Order: sequence, then C-alpha cells, then structure tokens
Amino acid sequence: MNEIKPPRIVERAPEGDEWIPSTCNLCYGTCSILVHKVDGVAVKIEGNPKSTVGKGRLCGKGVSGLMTHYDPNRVRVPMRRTNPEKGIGIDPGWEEISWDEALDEIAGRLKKIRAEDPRKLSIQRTTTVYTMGLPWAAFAPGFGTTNVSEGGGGLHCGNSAHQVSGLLHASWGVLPDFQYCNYALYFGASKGHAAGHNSNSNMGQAADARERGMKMVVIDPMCNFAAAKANEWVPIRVGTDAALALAMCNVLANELGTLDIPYLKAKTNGPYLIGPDGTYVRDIETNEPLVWDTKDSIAKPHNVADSEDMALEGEFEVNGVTCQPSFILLKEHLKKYTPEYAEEITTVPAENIRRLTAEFAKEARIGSTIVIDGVTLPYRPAAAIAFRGLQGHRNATFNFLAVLLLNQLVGAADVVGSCHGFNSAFDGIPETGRMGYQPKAGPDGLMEVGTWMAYDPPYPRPEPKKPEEMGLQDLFVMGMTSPFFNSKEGEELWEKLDMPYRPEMLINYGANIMMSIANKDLIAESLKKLDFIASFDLFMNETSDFVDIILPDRGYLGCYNTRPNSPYIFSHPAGMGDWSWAIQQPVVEPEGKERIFADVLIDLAERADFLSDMNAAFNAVFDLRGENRLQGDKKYSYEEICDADLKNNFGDERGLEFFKKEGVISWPKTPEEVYWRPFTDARVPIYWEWMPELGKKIQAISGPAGLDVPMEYYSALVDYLPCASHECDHDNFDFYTFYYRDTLHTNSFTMENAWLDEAAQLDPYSYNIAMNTQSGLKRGLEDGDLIQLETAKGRKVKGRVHLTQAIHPEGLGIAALCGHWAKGMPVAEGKGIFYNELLELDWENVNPVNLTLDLCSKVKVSRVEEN
Amino acid sequence: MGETPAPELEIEEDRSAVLWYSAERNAAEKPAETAESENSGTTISIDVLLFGLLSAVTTESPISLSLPSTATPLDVVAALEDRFGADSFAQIKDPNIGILTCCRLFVNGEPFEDPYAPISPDGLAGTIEMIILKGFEGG
Repeated sequence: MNEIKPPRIVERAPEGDEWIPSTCNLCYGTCSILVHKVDGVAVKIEGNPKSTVGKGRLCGKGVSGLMTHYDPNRVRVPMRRTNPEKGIGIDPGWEEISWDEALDEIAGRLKKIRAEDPRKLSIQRTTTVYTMGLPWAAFAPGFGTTNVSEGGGGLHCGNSAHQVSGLLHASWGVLPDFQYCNYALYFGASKGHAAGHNSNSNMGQAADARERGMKMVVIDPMCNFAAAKANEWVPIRVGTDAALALAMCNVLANELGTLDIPYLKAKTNGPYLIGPDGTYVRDIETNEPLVWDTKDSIAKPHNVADSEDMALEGEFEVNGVTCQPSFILLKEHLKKYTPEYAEEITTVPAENIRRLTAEFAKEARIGSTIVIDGVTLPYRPAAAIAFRGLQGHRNATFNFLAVLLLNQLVGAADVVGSCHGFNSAFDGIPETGRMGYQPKAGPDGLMEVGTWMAYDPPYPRPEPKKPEEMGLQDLFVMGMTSPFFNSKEGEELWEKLDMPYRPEMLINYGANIMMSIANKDLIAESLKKLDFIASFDLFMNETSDFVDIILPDRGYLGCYNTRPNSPYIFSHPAGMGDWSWAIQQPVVEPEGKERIFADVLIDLAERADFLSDMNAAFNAVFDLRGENRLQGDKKYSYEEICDADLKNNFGDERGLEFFKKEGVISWPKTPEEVYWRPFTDARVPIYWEWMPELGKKIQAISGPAGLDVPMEYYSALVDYLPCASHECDHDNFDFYTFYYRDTLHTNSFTMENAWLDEAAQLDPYSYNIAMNTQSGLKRGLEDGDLIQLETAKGRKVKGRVHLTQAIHPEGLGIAALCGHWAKGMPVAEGKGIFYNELLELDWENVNPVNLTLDLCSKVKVSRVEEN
Repeated sequence: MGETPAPELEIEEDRSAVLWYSAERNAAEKPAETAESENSGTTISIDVLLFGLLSAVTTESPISLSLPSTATPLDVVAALEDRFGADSFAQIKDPNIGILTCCRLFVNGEPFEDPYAPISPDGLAGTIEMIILKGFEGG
C-alpha cells in the first residue's frame, strides 16, 4: 500500500496559498478532500488523509473536479426561455434575467399550487450529489409535496439492493468485511473497485484484502472493474444470477449440509412454524409466531422459547393444523435448483457451481470464533455480495435475496470476515451521544433498521393504499424509487388508478432526467405536459430543452453540507477503524451570478409564504433541539442552519467555524458497533411470510384498474424468474444488452469534464459497445466497426464495437449514460452510447414488487455501412 | 498487507453457537408492566402545530385540544379527525404501524417516535408538532 502523506497544515500556508478541507461530490461516494487554492483559484484537489472517508485517496473523477468547476460552458446566470415550444433539440431562446425576476416568477407559481394542492409540485434531483439533499428534504415537506425523487431512480439506484439489505443487514447495501474476509463472491457488483458508495475507501480496503490473500470470485457477464482484479471470473448469462445463487444454496443445504444451525435458530425466522396456508402459526393469546420447542415438545411463542431448543425441521400439530418450520420449507424448495438446472439457465457449468459452493462453505469456517480488541466474536471469513448489476432486472428483489441467502445459511452476516451491512449500528457522537442508532426487533421479532436513508424504513411495512404518490410507492409499498415519476407510462397508470391530481410543476436539481430514466421519447412526452419547470443546473443539458427557468448552481465547491457522510449506512467505510465526520464548505468565490442553492430555496419559501413550515421541516430533518431550533418564520441563512446542526450534535464549541477549520473529526469504532449481529436480539426473514398476502392486497387495488400483479413475484420463498428479454425468441435477436457504471464517469454527468472525457477516449470500453471476440467474428464484425443494436420493439442505438474476450458470448456491455446531444455540453456531445434509448418503461419491464426497472434487452446486431 | 492486525484465531467446532444465543439471554428480562399513571382520569391541554401538507387541513394554528392525560399521538390524530374529518389524516395513519414513520412528531421540541405512548406522562400541558417528511430515496 502506498504511504499516505501527512495532512496539509492550513495555518502554515503562505498568504494566498491554502488547503481547504471539504468533501468531493463528483459522485455520491463523498470522499473527504483538501482543495489547494492559490490567489483565489482552486488549482488542485487531493484526498484528505485526516479522514477515514477516502483515507487520503481520491479517484480520477475526484481530482478532475476542477475541470467541472472551471468549465467555460457552465451556466453562470439565471435564464428564462422565450420560445414557448418545447421539444427535443428545439431552441428555448434563452434570455438572461435577474434573480429577483426568476424567484418572483417561481414563487408566484408555488403560491398558486400550494393553495390548490401542494402535491402538484414534484421535485427531482440527481443522485450524483445525493448527499446534498438536506435543504431539499426541508423544502419539499415544508411546501407540502410528497412527490420527491431521484433523477436516475429507476436506473442507477439499487432499489431492491437497498430494500433487501435493509431487511437482512439493517443497511443500505452490503460489502465483504475486507479486513478479515478470505473468500468474497461478487454477483454483479463492483464494490471496492471504484464506483458507488464509499468508493475510494472500499478500493483501499479491497486492495489490501487482495494483497493479504482474500480470494475473490466475480460472477458477472463482463470481466471489467471487479472481475479484472479477481482470482476468478465466472461469466454468466445476463440477468440469471438468482438461478446460480439458489443452486449454490441448494448445494449448501442439501448436498453439503454445511449450515450454521445455531445462527439459523437464533437470528432468522427459520424456526417459525408455517401452517398449510403458508402463514405463521401464531400464539392464540399473544399473536406472536410460534416455534417448536424440542426440549419440552410443545409449541411456544418465538420470544418465549430458547433459540437453542427451536426445531428447524420436522412436522408438528399445533392449534389443530399441521405445520413445519419455515427453514425446512426453504430447504425443500431449494431442491429444484440443481446445479444442472442452473447450468441451463446461467451457462455456468454445474461442476463449477459445486466447486464454488464447496469453496465458499469451507472458507466460512462455521463454528469458529475470533477475538477483536478483546471481544470474542463469530468468525465467518466468507461473503457473498451483490449490487446494482444483479438487481437491475425484472426479478430484482429475489435476485438480491438469493445471493444474501448464501450468507444466512452459513451465518456469515455482520460478523468478522463476513458479508456486512455497512455501519448498521452506531453508538453516537461520543461527547453528546447524538445521532446513534441500533437495529432492533420489531413486530414478529423481525429486525428493524436503526437508521435509514428515507423516512419509511423497509420494515415494518405500511399497508398498500390506492396511490396518491406519483411514483406509486404508496401502493407498491416495498418500492423506494420509482421510474414512473416522470414518464408517459406513469401517466397511464395514474389514470387507471384514479390518482386524485396531476403534477403541474417540476423543480429539478441537477438531474438530467431526459437521459437517466429510460428512452427519451417517453420522458419528453411527460415533461411537455408540465406547466412549468425550474431547474438548478451547472450546464444546459438535454433536459434544459423543457425547462422554463434555469438557475445557476454553485456546485459542490461552493456549497455547505454538514452531513456528507451521515447517516453512516450510505457512504462511510465499513469494518474496524475510525468514524469520521467531515463537512463540505465553499472553497472558491462564486462565478457570475451563482448562488448557494439552499439559500435560494429559503428565499423561495419566504416569497411563497411557507418559511415557518420550512423552518419546522429543518427542525425535523436535523432533529434540532433547544436553542438550536429554528424559530417561527424567522429567516436564516443556510450557513446559520449548518452552524445550528453542528452545535446541536457536537456542542456549542464545535459549530461551523470549528469544522470549517478542522474539516473533519474522527474517533474509533468498537467491535460491538462493527460486528453488531451477535449482540442484537432480532431475526431476519429467510421466509417472506408476508409476501403472498401483500401481493393479494395490491392486486385488490390494482386489478380492477387493469393492472394485474403476477403473484409469482410475491412468493414467500425466493425464486429465479426470467426477464422479458429472456422470453424474446425473435430470429436473430441473440444478444443481451446490459448497462454498467463506468469507473471514469458518474451517471450522465461527467462526460462534459474534459479530463475525464480524454481518459474515456483512451479507454477502449467507455464509449464503445463491448462484444465477445468470437461472437463478433462469427458475425463478420471487426473491432471498431460501427454497429446498430435494435430491440424487438424497434428501439435502436449505434456505436462502435470493441471485440474482447472479457465478456460473455451473449452479452453486449455499454458503459455509463453517454451519447449526449445537448449543445450546452460540447465536450460530451456525441461521445459514446445513450444506453437508455433501448429501454421500455412499462409494467412488463419493472419488478412488480418494487418497480425496479429491468435494464437488459434482447437485440439484433447489424453492421452499419460507412462511406 | 497494510493495517489489519493479525487476528488471534480460535477455531473449535460450535464455539460461536453460544455467541449467537447470547443476545436473547441478555435481553431475557421482560419490561415491567407500566404502572397506571397517577394522572389517569385528568385531562391536559395540547396545542397542535401542523406543518407542510398537513397544514392544508386548517388555518387554525395552534389547534388547541383537551385530551385525557394518557393521550398518545394516535389519540391526538383521532381528535383531529373528529374535528377536521378522517380523510385529512388518512395519509399518515396505517393499521400496521399506527402513524407512518415519515410523519415526524415533536413534543415540546423533542422528537417523539412511539405513536402508542402517552405524550405527557407527567400530565402537563404540551405542544405537539407534526410534519410529513418524504426523503429522496436512491443512490
């Protein structure tokens, strides 16, 4: 590992030369940074070694932030369209206006809508600067709209990954415990390989783990970022991971019998008795689920019997019905997933499936313990993890669950070396105890998260309702983000489901939704129907064609954020080490007429007469207490609110001024925080008892509207279910396309960054279509040929093919969301492929449980003749 | 390899079983029955402040209620429903959860999470604030 340089000492810098601590936002990894500023100009960005978030490292995107900040194509003044006609490529006829003009017009519209129905306002923002959401989290509820969304929610988001990680690990996602893991199975994930949550810290930890000898097996259609560094790449047919994972579970449970029985008894709902109707058999008095106590040979409530005495197998008569523990139902259910069956579905040879499972089982070292900092803990140095790649399919929920089930069977969950929910437990800020959270048992003894990124946690679930939210998440209650927020199809669903209002106004923060949801035509139709769109932006992008007023944002080098890494389940290093609390602060003066967006929102709340509501929302969002609470309709600057937030958590001595200078403070984690599972008396569901009933309730609402819910997705037992692309049997449609996150780019945003664009042009993958060499040669294609991909519904994209051995013979890999066509992003324009153009956005292509959009498609490939 | 300390490894069959069973043993004591409040039978004054979407229910602010001293947030919502109509609060009520967690409650400026717990165990008057927070989800 490279030596990390000691931190820059700001006080010793000569006048006009300083290093200012802040936080990167070229992606939502939010690494702590130091910005070198000379005579008012930011000249270099480095990682901040004082912080555990990045640990002094910074990726290529992070160091390139300067080029985004000083890009001459940035929007620096408020602008209004003069051409009322909206459409793709139609010139809006922008004219510069003053901030007063802009804010008066927007506030006037806000006042009108708020008086009618505040839900007619929708708010959308980008995942790129996800962690800058707190001002929006106060603006939206203060105004009174519940319609808030992420621009790429359908596409970039780990919708199912978050939900299932929350249910099984009390966290936003999962990782191997890099410090102690010896065997990591990756399914469609690049964790530790330069993309996504906490990417730089993970990179360092993953590199150290590989150097230490951690064996890494990557199951992926493409041998790219993770697989290229792995010991073994297992090419798999796109979207079939659940079949493989379930076959491995079958081998574990029924061929090898390598199971952590005490874990399954104590920490899962495996012992809960299931009656003939598939639901828990409950105690007549307490209504708690019953288990079979083998010591006393009677059924007892789960919270009365000792776990050690609970049966996992057998058949019993209880309350007049025959019942079995859910574990034996799962074990029997898995038998249909033979390695031979999985080979047919996935193309992974059965003998490899058995070998990989045996390796995983052996490395899990069931029954072993280890002492960390004087605390004896279960030791399970094997982890199966997954993320967005595997869950970007119609079977999203079960795909993710199938992989995490591997860990459950061997007890490799949130203990030393195992699969981790990252930072699921936190004892709080040492001096004040604030912000702490712990997973705990909820209804039926199942685990509730300690904290969550949203305000409705994954468990317990609310009842489905006739929808009043644009994304339909109040009907599809296991959904988080929704691709139907801004789409033509969404509008059809609202019509069918009698939504009581329609959106009239959109405020957008940096999201380029024309590119980030699905094919552009559907989104354009939807945007055209809105009366008014205001958008905070850095560039005139593809969505700007539909915007009425553009507001210049200062970007991440000009904004405050007191919580870039909080809550810690989103983007803070897992494993032993330190907790760090960093801030983001303006490091350069504004250019042109840029303003801090949070202050603009406060201005809008004042002009539209809801400042007291927004203050109340800030109090709630930040949990401000005592003297730090915002009062009535008093107007505060966002800087003052940030100061209140920090003092509220860290005490009066450590407000904004303290953090501006220090940038970050750190303190050590404890083994009980990191390896919390043995200390938490809560169970996780390996049998999803609630699912069939939930499916029926949703069907009762959606069915009469003509929207049938396929019940196989609402089974209590996890299954492999195919994508729409697997069912496409048209002649010559013989490739599966898939999208993957490029390490050089973030979403659709960074293609305008000149350094990153240059790097991407040098990379044979970033702007091209990856195809297996043999598959290409068989079709007469040569490396560099211009090809066209066409779906069965006639959607087409063109791009240059790159022939490589590093991809499954049936796969076509396309990186990031390139192919910009906006003139306001001239560096990005025309580079790479706009993958989303291939995607349908309809009921057939979403997961019927949580609305995750299926991102694969079946295409035919043809060479485009060039003159 | 970098910073990871060499682990002190103890491998024996089923050494971890006792650790898996330890949490429930540590938590075995059941919570004591809540004694009936000394203030049972009396009433308290509660001022309700509604913000955001909920403020559309009425222009009255604060809304003054007189409720039994054992009143919970759900009792407050029931009283508000009696006054302003059940539909006004349908979006925050749920049969599984009581009051959805996205509806944040503050009693006398302090966050209050349990919709089934008395909001004023000491029987004193108080102020309850209610606001629906909808987070941006994703990433």
